[in-house]
Amino acid sequence: MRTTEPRRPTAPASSDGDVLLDVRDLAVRIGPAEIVNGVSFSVPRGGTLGIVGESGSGKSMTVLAATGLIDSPPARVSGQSLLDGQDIVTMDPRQLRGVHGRRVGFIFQDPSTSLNPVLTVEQQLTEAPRFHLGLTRRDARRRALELLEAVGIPDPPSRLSSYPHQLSGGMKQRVMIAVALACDPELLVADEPTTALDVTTQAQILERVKELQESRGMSVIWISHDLGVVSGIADRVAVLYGGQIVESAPLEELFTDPRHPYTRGLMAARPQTAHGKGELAVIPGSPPDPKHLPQGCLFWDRCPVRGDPRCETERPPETPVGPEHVVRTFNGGDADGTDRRGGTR
Amino acid sequence: MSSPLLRFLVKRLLHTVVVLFGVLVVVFALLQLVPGDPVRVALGTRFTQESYDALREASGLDRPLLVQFFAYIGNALTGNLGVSFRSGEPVTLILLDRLPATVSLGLAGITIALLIAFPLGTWAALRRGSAADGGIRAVSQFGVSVPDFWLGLLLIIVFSTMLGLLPPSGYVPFTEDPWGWLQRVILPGLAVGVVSGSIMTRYVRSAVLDVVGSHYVRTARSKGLPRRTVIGRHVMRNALVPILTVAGVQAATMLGGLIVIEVVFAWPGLGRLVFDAVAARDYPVVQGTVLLIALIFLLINLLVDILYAVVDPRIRVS
Ligand SMILES: Nc1ncnc2c1ncn2[C@@H]1O[C@H](COP(=O)(O)OP(=O)(O)O)[C@@H](O)[C@H]1O
Ligand code: SF4
Ligand SMILES: [Mg+2]
Repeated sequence: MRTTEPRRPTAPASSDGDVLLDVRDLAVRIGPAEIVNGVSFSVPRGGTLGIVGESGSGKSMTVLAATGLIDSPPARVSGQSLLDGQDIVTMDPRQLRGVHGRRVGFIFQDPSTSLNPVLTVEQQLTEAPRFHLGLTRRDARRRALELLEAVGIPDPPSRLSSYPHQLSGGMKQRVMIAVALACDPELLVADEPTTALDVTTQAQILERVKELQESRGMSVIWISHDLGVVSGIADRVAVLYGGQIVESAPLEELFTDPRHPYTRGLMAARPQTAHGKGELAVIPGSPPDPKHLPQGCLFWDRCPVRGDPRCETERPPETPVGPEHVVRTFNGGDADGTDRRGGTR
Repeated sequence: MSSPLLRFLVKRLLHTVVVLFGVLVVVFALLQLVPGDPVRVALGTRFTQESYDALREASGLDRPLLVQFFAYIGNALTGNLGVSFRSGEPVTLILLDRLPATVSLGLAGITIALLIAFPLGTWAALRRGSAADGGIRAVSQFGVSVPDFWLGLLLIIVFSTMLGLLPPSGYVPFTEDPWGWLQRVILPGLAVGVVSGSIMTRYVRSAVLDVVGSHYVRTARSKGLPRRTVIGRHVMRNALVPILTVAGVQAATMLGGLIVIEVVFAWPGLGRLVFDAVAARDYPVVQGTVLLIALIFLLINLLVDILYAVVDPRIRVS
């Protein structure tokens, strides 16, 4: 049980001083593809939101749209994403530059392609602080050394002149973290930053980000297709499917009381032996094609407990099932537990 | 620069030397492959026994093949490429006399090609799918399919014959009359440059497109850097790597195109020289020109590889 004050994640929060990012009814279309379909979540100051879902469920598109990094056009974004009350969705490129790299830092999935191959670590690490904070070359260099130290890179001075191809995958991802943190952002967006790494490195990176978050009081959005990874860092978890949040709850509550058949499927799919790269595809089938979304529940074709006549014709609405727990299903929103055995076959 | 770069350059230079030796062998063999007796063929109607013997001896063709071969290599390395069958002049002097004209035309051509390809290719890529992109692609498609000599003739007709703006042909050295040189180099330079430029425009466009869609450019954008920094520092630097390769190939291809263009514009360069020498069966001059063109070709490749290594740190280690 949690003792924090009850707050629905979708409730208006701009007046609420401890919310950093408040996303409301965010939607993304690219041509005929309905990629994100009304996503709402909030990230508390200093807190961590985990976003989970299989590949293709819209995780990257959701955060890229929420942070204004999506290519628009071709993407059309609607809804709001309030960073301290300012809507990122309607910002012009100039305003966005004041957010990107400065207030929001990014780490991406593949460290081997995310760093520029023809520039040194120093060049890539100092350009944002020099631009945003107006640091001199010398000050930026000193800051770069501190950052490399902070992310756990041995012998920072010699690493400054390295090129990415001279670093291991884990080292590259640490450099990426240093790049993301270079201007002391309030929010770190980590889009599957450990997926391409081996299990040991994965755990080290996770620990390091946790430490840095605590020492800096930073908020984090951590995306993963692996519920196990997210459980190592998140305070609350949003489960994404077909560009919708199908369930969202505080971490422990999601694990002890999952309500959506998809969430239960993810739980069942997790290897019991801690952090493996447990692929979630154990639930037969794959996420819906954003170009041809079904009329009813997006999970309908894979749902082991579909049965309600509305499942095939209506989109289930977001239903609160606890003070901070919402779910989108016609079966599981009830608290009496009549039909909770789904997804375990 | 760093020592890996130096090691790379030394390796590359050795490679060039080896290839050059192979070229020498081929050029020497060229004379042996000529059907019949090259001296006799070269003399043609001017044949007398005395002139025949004299030319044979002067060219060293009376000696055994192996001796000839080593003599040829030795002489070539010291800059002696024999004498012209036609004029009796040393081939080396003839080549040196013609070289500046070809080099200046080649440089004009590649400069024009780059001036076309870089801005247009980049512009089209950054505005992918726009009307500008479509227009640039259509025009470059047209440019690719135009033969360079045809374009040369068209340019002469329009700019000299009809408009009278530029001289139709001829050459003056840059060192003697820079303005006169520029006036005369523009049309032949355009004739070779437009075709190469059109081909390169497409490569520049796709190279820039590739890089723009890359993860590291997304990273650069995620830093909130100004657009011109993202394009200039992150996009163009990386796009340069594949573009350099194409530029090298185009420069080398242009060397072949120069032969025709030099004939069309009465441009006294190596192309004209080899064209005339083949017609006159002046084999030492043909050999010398082939050797020099091969050397220029190798130097272009060497230059491209050096630039490559300077731009891309990954090349230096492999
Ligand atoms: N540029 C695009 N145009 C059309 N569809 C896209 C584009 N990019 C991604 N998608 C689609 O959007 C969906 C969500 O993608 P993404 O957000 O990358 O998923 P995730 O990060 O969860 O793996 C996928 O079905 C993908 O095919
Ligand atoms: S709404 Fe119906 S089909 Fe959709 S998840 Fe719930 S039970 Fe399954
Ligand atoms: Mg993704």
